[in-house]
Amino acid sequence: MSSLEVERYEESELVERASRGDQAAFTELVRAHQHEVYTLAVRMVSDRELAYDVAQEAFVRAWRAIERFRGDAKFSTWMHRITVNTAFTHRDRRKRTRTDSLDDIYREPESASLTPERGGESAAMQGPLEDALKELPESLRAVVVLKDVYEWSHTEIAEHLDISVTAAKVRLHRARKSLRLTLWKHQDEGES
Amino acid sequence: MSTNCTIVRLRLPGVDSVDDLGEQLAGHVETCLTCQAEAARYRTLRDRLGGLSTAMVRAPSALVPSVTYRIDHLDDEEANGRSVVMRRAAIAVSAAAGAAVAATAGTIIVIGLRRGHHAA
Repeated sequence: MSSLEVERYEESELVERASRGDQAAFTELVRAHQHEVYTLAVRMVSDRELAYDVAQEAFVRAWRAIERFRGDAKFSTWMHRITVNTAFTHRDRRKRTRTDSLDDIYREPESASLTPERGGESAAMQGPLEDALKELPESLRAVVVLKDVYEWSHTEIAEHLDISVTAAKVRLHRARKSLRLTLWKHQDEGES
Repeated sequence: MSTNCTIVRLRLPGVDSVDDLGEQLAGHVETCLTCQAEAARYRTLRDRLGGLSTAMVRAPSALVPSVTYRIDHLDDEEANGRSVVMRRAAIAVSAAAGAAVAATAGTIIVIGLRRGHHAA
């Protein structure tokens, strides 16, 4: 067995135990997937405080539903779906409770968020691409993140975002075009 | 810029490779330096976005304990949720009852006034 197979075996064992109500096994799964789930949440909502809430809620939802997890998909794939759904629930809740536009919320300055690990985050999340992603309207950002970062199909995106496949394609088109214009703006200005 | 260049620029954001543009436009890109440069930008963009899939953002250390805490107290949360629902239901029922009482009182007053008016 390769180390990956051992890992998968151990994970399926943990999932099996968790689905029988073993909370310690579930905590191990949370520990193993925390960074992945948090990263997806950050990419979906572009706000680390909100992403923390989303990740926490996603794991709680997973615990509630793990009894029904059949293991057809990988646990991480299942968690991704729950995280995306949770991110949208939080977005809707914020829409109802705040009058600010979501884009204003997502453009909060870094210093306004509180997590101590902020300084130690991967350098790969820094830079112009991440900044350009943050600047995108949330509906476009969700589609481009799911398609180009997580390789979801248009059909999967459409299902989860409750939009048509055509709408998913249109949003992807607009998101990529916007990112391209932002990232090569100076070069374009030099050419014109 | 030719018509083909314009069409390529319009369609590039929506495709995953130049081949998806169709034979004619893909053939144009092969011979057009401007379109090649534009296609290269979109390829770079997709590659960089794809690269984000392996770049992790470190979760705050409080995440795991906070999930454990929430799970430990799920029964309380659900009980609180139920009591909030019950409170909301009680408020709604009281409001409805209040409205019914007010409507009844209003009707009685109106009838009383009409009777008074007819008697006069």
